[in-house]
Amino acid sequence: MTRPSLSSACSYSPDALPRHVAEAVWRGSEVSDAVSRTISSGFPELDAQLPGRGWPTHCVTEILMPLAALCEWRLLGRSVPGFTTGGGRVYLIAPPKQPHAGGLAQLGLSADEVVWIDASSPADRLWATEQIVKSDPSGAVLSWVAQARPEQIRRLQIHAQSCDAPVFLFRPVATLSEASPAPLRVTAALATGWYLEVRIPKRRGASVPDPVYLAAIPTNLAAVLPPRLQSIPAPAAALLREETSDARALGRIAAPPSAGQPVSH
Amino acid sequence: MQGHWAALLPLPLPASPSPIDAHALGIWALQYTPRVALLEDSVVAEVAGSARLFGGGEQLHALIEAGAAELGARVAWAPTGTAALAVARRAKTQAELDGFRLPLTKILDPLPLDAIAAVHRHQATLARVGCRCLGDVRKLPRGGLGRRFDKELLHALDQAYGLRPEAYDWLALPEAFHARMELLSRVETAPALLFGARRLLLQMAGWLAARRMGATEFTLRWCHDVMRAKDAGTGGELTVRTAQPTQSVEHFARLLAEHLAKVQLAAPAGDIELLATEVLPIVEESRSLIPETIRKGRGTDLALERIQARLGTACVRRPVLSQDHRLEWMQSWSCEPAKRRPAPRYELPVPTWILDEPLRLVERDNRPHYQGPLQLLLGPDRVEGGWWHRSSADANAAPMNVQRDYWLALSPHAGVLWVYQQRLAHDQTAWFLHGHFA
Repeated sequence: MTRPSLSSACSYSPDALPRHVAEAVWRGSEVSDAVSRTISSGFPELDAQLPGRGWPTHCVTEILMPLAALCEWRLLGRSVPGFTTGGGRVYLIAPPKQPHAGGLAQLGLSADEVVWIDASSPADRLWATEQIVKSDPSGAVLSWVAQARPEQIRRLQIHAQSCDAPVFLFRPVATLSEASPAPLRVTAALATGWYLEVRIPKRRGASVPDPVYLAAIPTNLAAVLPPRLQSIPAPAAALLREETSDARALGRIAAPPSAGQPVSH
Repeated sequence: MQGHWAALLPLPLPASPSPIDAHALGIWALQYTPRVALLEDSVVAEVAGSARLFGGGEQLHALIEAGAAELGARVAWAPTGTAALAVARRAKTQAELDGFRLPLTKILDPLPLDAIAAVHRHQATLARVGCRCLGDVRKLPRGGLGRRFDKELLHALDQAYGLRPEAYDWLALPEAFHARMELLSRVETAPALLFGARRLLLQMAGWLAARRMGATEFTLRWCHDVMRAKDAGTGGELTVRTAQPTQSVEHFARLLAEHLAKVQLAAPAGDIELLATEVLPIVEESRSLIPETIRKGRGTDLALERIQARLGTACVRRPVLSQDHRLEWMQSWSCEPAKRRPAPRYELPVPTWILDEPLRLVERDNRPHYQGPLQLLLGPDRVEGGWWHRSSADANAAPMNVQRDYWLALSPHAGVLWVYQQRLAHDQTAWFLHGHFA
């Protein structure tokens, strides 16, 4: 097992320790290795910061966002192939908006791999999440539980310990001030352009002070974006008229909006 | 050759006034062996042939004893059926229920005369001769016994001691399952029916296991007590369906509990009745040494059924894609388990979240605003179609055709959006938000 070497100013080197001692010593600076299976997030920068180099299974992961339906699939879309290997399905429990199967199919999630469980009251959402997590599904569980108390999260976390699928709980970023029993908490927010600003306020291992910026272009858009738009200029520079002239990416030239066309028959 | 017999003697349970019917108990026992017979008021079953199937004699003992304890019956074991029943009647401790701990004669000899019914009939005469236990009777000369008493006495005695083969009319498995039970007290709330119904479910699971079937539908009926209001009717019924044929009592009980939680009893119920209304052959799980990974999703399907039972069938939805260019008609949701069908592939990007109704955006300086000004990145993508589509068959139905120019827009606060511009009446145009590339 290799250990990150300490700085040279240190009086001893970790290699000097006997092997069994070195394995037993845990340094505060290192990210712990996950005991369970992990699924790569698809972003090498983010994987480097996550314990076990990916989204963990056998535990609950909280994803905190300022708004629901903001960037869930931009963050998780690249790990969809990891979720669905071996016949896995993705369970969406009480999503904030109607999922669109066409868009999810473009992320690699075919229609028979999506299950939408609609539950309106918070208690029903937690109960449905618990039932799914308890049944040890294969795939991934995505649950939107905004108003959950810490003891309810703890209950889910205990059930998730025997669940061989990642369990994501989406909650508002305001709950960051509360303690949570989830071993991994990740906040995601929009940054300039295509970037997402991801912070990891809690993980097994040392804390991460700096945010990670991910170039999270939605997977289904990446193919149609012209090179000009791969990095987005500041909003002030882009004007409406310029954009209208550049319609080649989608392949069709539309008539100007004022051109008279009958709307209905 | 001596067999391995179990005798199941019905006992009154604290939860129920009457002990379980011996015939129902026999049907339940048929899942372990086909050689089950009714003997007097109890059930005897010969299980030597099926011990290997259930993982050895000890496992089988544990299985039958656990099931019988839940149904309210006492189990005793002995090399012959008559002896097993005698032991079941007279055993005082748990250890005495096992008729294999000593040689058979040493177990039977000290038992009193009423342990075997044929001997019990002549108890008065035998007692006057000085017989206190079965051993005393056996010591009497056989010729005299045969002349003085009827031939059933010697017959039963020989059968109990294994000197004469036992011949029984084996119980036949009925074609349909139907069981009825009287409740101890009048039950006023529907969830409380579950305590009684569990025993019936256990019987049904035994019947299903014996027939190698799984139930996809069963009905629980309850009869109202005679002391009821005039408008209450004679009873009610509840039908529970499952997607996959199953034999699991736990799953039946959970589904029934979810359904009963929604039922309001019109009057207190006195009797309940359970019917297996629809059964299908079941694919049995092989009990293999190596754990299987393929059947992993099965537990989740059962969990989804429980969720449907509590939250409503429409709560669990699976998408169905169809060939349409209009975003809202491209998909529909069904409650049925998805079948694998070739999905139509839409070439152009489609958002991952969609609004139920497009949201009209405010417009300032000819530009749409949604939580601040939107930066339009790509477009327009013209979607036009649906002239064949009407909201209903009436003459004044609204047309469902659309002519929209879709744009990819970026908002610093709301992320990547899918907006469209549409012509309204009087040469006006309007912007709508339709989806999120979240």
